[in-house]
Amino acid sequence: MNGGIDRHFAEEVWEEYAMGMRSEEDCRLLEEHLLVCSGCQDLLAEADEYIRAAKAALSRTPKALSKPATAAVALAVALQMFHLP
Amino acid sequence: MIASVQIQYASANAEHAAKDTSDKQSNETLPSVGEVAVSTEDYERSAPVDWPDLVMRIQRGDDSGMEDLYRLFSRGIRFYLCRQLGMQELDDKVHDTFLIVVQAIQRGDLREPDRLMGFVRTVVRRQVAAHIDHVVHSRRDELHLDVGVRVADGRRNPEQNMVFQQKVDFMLEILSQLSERDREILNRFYLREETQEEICREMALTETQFRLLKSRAKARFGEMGKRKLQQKALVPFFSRVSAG
Repeated sequence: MNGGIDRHFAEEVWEEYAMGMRSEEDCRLLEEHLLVCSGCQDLLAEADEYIRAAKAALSRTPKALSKPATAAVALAVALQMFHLP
Repeated sequence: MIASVQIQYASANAEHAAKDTSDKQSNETLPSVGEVAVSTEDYERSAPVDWPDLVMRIQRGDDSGMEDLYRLFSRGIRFYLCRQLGMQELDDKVHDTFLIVVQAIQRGDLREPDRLMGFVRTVVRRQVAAHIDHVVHSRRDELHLDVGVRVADGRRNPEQNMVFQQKVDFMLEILSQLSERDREILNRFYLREETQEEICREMALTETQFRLLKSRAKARFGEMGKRKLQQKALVPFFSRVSAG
């Protein structure tokens, strides 16, 4: 695959790139293209903003805590309830 | 991974061509990172670039070579540096990057002119790394502490904060309409940053189901944003009507 000017990448590729989920080789191709393609710069800017909003919103939902964190919170609550040290 | 990029590459081109056309018509809708100022000159470019010719002109010190180099890369370099390092001294950093690229080309450091894009990327990445290194060392010297450093300036003005809060509210509304399982999928991907493969395996999802959920949520987010913009546009109209 050549990182050309006239070819473009899909939204979800930029999303994965923004989240650091692409390989080093993919990043090379994507970044070379990004330097000369304003359309893909816009897609990446949108992806960055969407990911930020999603992270902020998801962190406010009850399921946001990871499993170990949820267990730790549950344990802390139980200890408090039963006045355990 | 490369194969999957290639597949998505082709399908993106058709959509992108349409997007480029609509963006040309409305410059004010161009999204940006922070407050980065952008030009739309590169939208006008359509002919394939003759890299060896461009490199030769720069080596000769031909003004047209410098102009073409700037026209091709200025927005991209600006975007990349702004995304990585923030707005602070952005103009100086862009200028320094161009200077390094031009001097390196004139010294003959670029042996394969067709690799100009890769060469520019390397220079930009080195600039970013050097800046981060400088910030880390100067802060360490100041504080005598080895602490984590946020290099890009993430601060926004009150208006930008308000717009962002609105986006978070859209997202919260979308999440409230999803099933617990679907929320869990988005949570795993965006918040816990698990890979698609991990999520599909652990939640017994196909790749298509995963992609569909993500793209529907994003489409809904886009619709809500558009609707909000339309409402904003109607406010002056209604206020004129009620005043009249």
